[in-house]
Amino acid sequence: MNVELIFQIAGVGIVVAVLNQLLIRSGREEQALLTTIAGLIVVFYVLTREIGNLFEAIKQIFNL
Amino acid sequence: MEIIQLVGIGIVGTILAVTVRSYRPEIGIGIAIAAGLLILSAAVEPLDTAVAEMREICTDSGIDMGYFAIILKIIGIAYLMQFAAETAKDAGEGAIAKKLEFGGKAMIIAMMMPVVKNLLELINSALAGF
Repeated sequence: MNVELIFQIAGVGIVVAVLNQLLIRSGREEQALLTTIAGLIVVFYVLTREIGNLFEAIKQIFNL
Repeated sequence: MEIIQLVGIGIVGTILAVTVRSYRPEIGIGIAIAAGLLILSAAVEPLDTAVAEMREICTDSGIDMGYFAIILKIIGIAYLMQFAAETAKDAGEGAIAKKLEFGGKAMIIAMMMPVVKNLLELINSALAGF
């Protein structure tokens, strides 16, 4: 059980939020949007692997 | 001390999700999914031992393993579908959650039908003498 996963994703979220605010304040809305999307991709890249692991475990237990 | 770990993951995940959600809602959902995944992954291990025990009981009592496999599959579908539906509901997509639940129910019914058919055939053959 690795709680680091939650902290990792929360860290990405906070960094993306700060970058977003900075970029919007300095008048670069497009780059702010791109940062948001990049953060989202990173988060879901990490998540999909974990989801796959869980699904594999459940598949094995219930012979799905 | 597994249970304390679970509670810790739940509380930490909730606080972080609520904090991040006010700035970036989509990443807040990511945190919620991660916390759910960790909790379910922790639940997988005791589930495994429970299922192994049930399997043993089934083989000892001479029940057809095919039926037990169907029940297991249905439980598995319900388990996964609940995870997906709750995630969708958390994100405020109640409609998608409802449709996911509907899909799960349809799959369960399709899987259950052969057993119902067997039961009806059994009743039929038992009544054939009358």
